[in-house]
Amino acid sequence: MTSHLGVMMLFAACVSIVFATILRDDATAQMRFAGRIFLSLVLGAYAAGWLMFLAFGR
Amino acid sequence: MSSSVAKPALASVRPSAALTFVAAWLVPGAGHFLQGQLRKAVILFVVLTAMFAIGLGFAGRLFPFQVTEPLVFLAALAEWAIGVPRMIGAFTGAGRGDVVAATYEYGNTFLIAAGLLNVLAIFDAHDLATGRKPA
Repeated sequence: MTSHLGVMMLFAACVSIVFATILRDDATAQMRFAGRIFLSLVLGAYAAGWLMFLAFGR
Repeated sequence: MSSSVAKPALASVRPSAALTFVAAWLVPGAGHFLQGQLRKAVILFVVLTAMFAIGLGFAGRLFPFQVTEPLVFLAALAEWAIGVPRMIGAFTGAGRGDVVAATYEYGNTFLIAAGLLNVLAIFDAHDLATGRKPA
Protein backbone atom coordinates (compact mmCIF):
# COMPACT_ATOMS: atom_id res chain seq x y z
CA MET A 1 0.00 0.00 0.00
CA THR A 2 1.57 3.27 -1.07
CA SER A 3 -1.51 5.50 -1.04
CA HIS A 4 -0.75 8.29 1.38
CA LEU A 5 -4.43 8.59 2.30
CA GLY A 6 -4.74 4.85 2.92
CA VAL A 7 -1.65 4.70 5.11
CA MET A 8 -2.72 7.79 7.00
CA MET A 9 -6.15 6.27 7.69
CA LEU A 10 -4.53 3.00 8.82
CA PHE A 11 -2.24 4.94 11.16
CA ALA A 12 -5.13 7.05 12.47
CA ALA A 13 -7.18 3.92 13.12
CA CYS A 14 -4.36 2.29 15.13
CA VAL A 15 -3.66 5.42 17.17
CA SER A 16 -7.33 6.07 17.91
CA ILE A 17 -7.94 2.49 19.04
CA VAL A 18 -4.98 2.61 21.46
CA PHE A 19 -5.97 5.99 22.89
CA ALA A 20 -9.60 4.95 23.32
CA THR A 21 -8.54 1.68 24.97
CA ILE A 22 -6.35 3.50 27.48
CA LEU A 23 -8.59 6.48 28.21
CA ARG A 24 -12.05 4.87 28.31
CA ASP A 25 -13.27 1.83 30.22
CA ASP A 26 -16.50 0.52 28.71
CA ALA A 27 -16.79 -0.71 25.15
CA THR A 28 -19.41 1.78 23.96
CA ALA A 29 -17.47 4.78 25.23
CA GLN A 30 -14.29 3.35 23.72
CA MET A 31 -15.85 2.99 20.26
CA ARG A 32 -17.34 6.47 20.38
CA PHE A 33 -14.07 8.02 21.56
CA ALA A 34 -12.04 6.09 18.96
CA GLY A 35 -14.36 7.35 16.24
CA ARG A 36 -13.96 10.93 17.39
CA ILE A 37 -10.16 10.67 17.49
CA PHE A 38 -10.09 8.98 14.08
CA LEU A 39 -12.25 11.67 12.47
CA SER A 40 -10.23 14.42 14.14
CA LEU A 41 -6.95 12.99 12.85
CA VAL A 42 -8.16 12.42 9.28
CA LEU A 43 -10.06 15.70 8.95
CA GLY A 44 -7.20 17.55 10.66
CA ALA A 45 -4.72 16.11 8.16
CA TYR A 46 -7.02 17.12 5.29
CA ALA A 47 -7.34 20.65 6.67
CA ALA A 48 -3.59 20.96 7.23
CA GLY A 49 -2.93 19.62 3.73
CA TRP A 50 -5.28 22.15 2.13
CA LEU A 51 -3.79 25.00 4.18
CA MET A 52 -0.26 24.03 3.10
CA PHE A 53 -1.41 23.73 -0.51
CA LEU A 54 -3.00 27.17 -0.44
CA ALA A 55 0.03 28.69 1.27
CA PHE A 56 2.88 26.99 -0.58
CA GLY A 57 1.36 24.90 -3.36
CA ARG A 58 1.71 27.35 -6.22
CA MET B 1 -12.40 -17.51 68.68
CA SER B 2 -13.88 -15.47 65.92
CA SER B 3 -11.59 -14.31 63.23
CA SER B 4 -11.26 -10.55 63.42
CA VAL B 5 -8.20 -10.42 61.20
CA ALA B 6 -9.00 -8.59 57.99
CA LYS B 7 -8.59 -10.61 54.84
CA PRO B 8 -6.01 -9.28 52.44
CA ALA B 9 -7.51 -7.08 49.79
CA LEU B 10 -7.80 -8.47 46.30
CA ALA B 11 -5.44 -5.78 45.08
CA SER B 12 -2.64 -7.18 47.22
CA VAL B 13 -2.80 -10.45 45.25
CA ARG B 14 -2.02 -8.62 42.04
CA PRO B 15 1.57 -8.32 40.82
CA SER B 16 3.69 -5.43 41.99
CA ALA B 17 3.96 -2.17 40.14
CA ALA B 18 7.55 -2.94 39.14
CA LEU B 19 6.63 -6.33 37.67
CA THR B 20 3.67 -4.78 35.86
CA PHE B 21 5.93 -2.07 34.46
CA VAL B 22 8.51 -4.55 33.14
CA ALA B 23 5.87 -6.91 31.72
CA ALA B 24 4.08 -4.03 29.99
CA TRP B 25 7.36 -2.92 28.46
CA LEU B 26 8.30 -6.39 27.25
CA VAL B 27 4.94 -7.42 25.79
CA PRO B 28 2.31 -4.86 24.78
CA GLY B 29 -0.79 -5.38 26.91
CA ALA B 30 0.90 -7.68 29.42
CA GLY B 31 0.66 -5.04 32.15
CA HIS B 32 -3.10 -4.77 31.74
CA PHE B 33 -3.34 -8.56 31.64
CA LEU B 34 -1.55 -8.79 35.00
CA GLN B 35 -3.95 -6.18 36.39
CA GLY B 36 -6.94 -8.27 35.30
CA GLN B 37 -7.99 -6.16 32.32
CA LEU B 38 -8.03 -8.90 29.69
CA ARG B 39 -10.01 -7.06 27.01
CA LYS B 40 -7.72 -4.03 27.09
CA ALA B 41 -4.69 -6.33 27.12
CA VAL B 42 -5.81 -8.16 23.98
CA ILE B 43 -6.60 -4.92 22.12
CA LEU B 44 -3.26 -3.35 23.03
CA PHE B 45 -1.33 -6.49 22.12
CA VAL B 46 -3.01 -6.90 18.74
CA VAL B 47 -2.90 -3.24 17.69
CA LEU B 48 0.62 -2.40 18.90
CA THR B 49 2.14 -5.62 17.57
CA ALA B 50 0.36 -5.05 14.26
CA MET B 51 1.69 -1.49 14.08
CA PHE B 52 5.23 -2.77 14.66
CA ALA B 53 4.79 -5.49 12.03
CA ILE B 54 3.34 -2.99 9.55
CA GLY B 55 6.33 -0.75 10.17
CA LEU B 56 8.71 -3.58 9.33
CA GLY B 57 6.56 -4.56 6.34
CA PHE B 58 6.80 -0.99 5.07
CA ALA B 59 10.62 -1.31 5.03
CA GLY B 60 11.08 0.86 8.12
CA ARG B 61 14.38 0.88 9.96
CA LEU B 62 15.16 -0.37 13.46
CA PHE B 63 17.47 2.43 14.51
CA PRO B 64 20.64 1.81 16.55
CA PHE B 65 21.57 3.87 19.59
CA GLN B 66 23.74 6.48 17.91
CA VAL B 67 24.57 9.33 20.27
CA THR B 68 26.19 11.43 17.56
CA GLU B 69 22.84 11.62 15.75
CA PRO B 70 20.25 12.88 18.27
CA LEU B 71 17.20 12.11 16.11
CA VAL B 72 18.42 8.58 15.41
CA PHE B 73 19.04 8.12 19.13
CA LEU B 74 15.51 9.30 19.99
CA ALA B 75 14.02 7.04 17.32
CA ALA B 76 15.95 4.09 18.76
CA LEU B 77 14.71 4.96 22.24
CA ALA B 78 11.10 5.05 21.01
CA GLU B 79 11.47 1.72 19.18
CA TRP B 80 12.99 0.04 22.24
CA ALA B 81 9.91 1.06 24.24
CA ILE B 82 8.20 -2.01 22.79
CA GLY B 83 10.43 -4.74 24.18
CA VAL B 84 9.98 -8.21 22.74
CA PRO B 85 8.93 -7.21 19.20
CA ARG B 86 12.02 -4.96 19.02
CA MET B 87 14.23 -7.78 20.30
CA ILE B 88 12.76 -10.22 17.77
CA GLY B 89 13.40 -7.65 15.06
CA ALA B 90 17.01 -7.29 16.20
CA PHE B 91 17.66 -11.05 16.39
CA THR B 92 16.05 -11.86 13.06
CA GLY B 93 17.85 -9.09 11.21
CA ALA B 94 14.59 -7.41 10.23
CA GLY B 95 14.27 -3.67 9.99
CA ARG B 96 17.36 -2.89 7.98
CA GLY B 97 15.38 -0.10 6.36
CA ASP B 98 15.17 0.44 2.63
CA VAL B 99 15.73 4.17 2.15
CA VAL B 100 14.67 4.13 -1.49
CA ALA B 101 11.39 2.32 -0.79
CA ALA B 102 8.31 4.51 -1.21
CA THR B 103 7.04 3.36 2.18
CA TYR B 104 10.29 3.85 4.13
CA GLU B 105 9.13 6.93 6.07
CA TYR B 106 5.71 5.39 6.66
CA GLY B 107 7.46 2.36 8.13
CA ASN B 108 9.58 4.47 10.45
CA THR B 109 6.48 6.34 11.60
CA PHE B 110 4.66 3.12 12.44
CA LEU B 111 7.68 1.66 14.28
CA ILE B 112 8.29 4.78 16.36
CA ALA B 113 4.60 5.39 17.09
CA ALA B 114 4.14 1.76 18.20
CA GLY B 115 6.88 2.25 20.80
CA LEU B 116 5.57 5.60 21.99
CA LEU B 117 2.01 4.30 22.29
CA ASN B 118 3.35 1.39 24.32
CA VAL B 119 4.88 3.94 26.70
CA LEU B 120 1.35 5.24 27.34
CA ALA B 121 0.16 1.67 27.91
CA ILE B 122 3.06 1.03 30.32
CA PHE B 123 2.22 4.10 32.42
CA ASP B 124 -1.49 3.24 32.38
CA ALA B 125 -0.79 -0.29 33.63
CA HIS B 126 1.62 1.10 36.24
CA ASP B 127 -1.06 3.52 37.48
CA LEU B 128 -3.49 0.60 37.78
CA ALA B 129 -0.92 -1.35 39.78
CA THR B 130 -0.20 1.49 42.17
CA GLY B 131 -3.90 2.33 42.59
CA ARG B 132 -3.46 5.80 41.16
CA LYS B 133 -6.06 4.86 38.56
CA PRO B 134 -9.12 2.86 39.69
CA ALA B 135 -9.40 -0.59 38.08
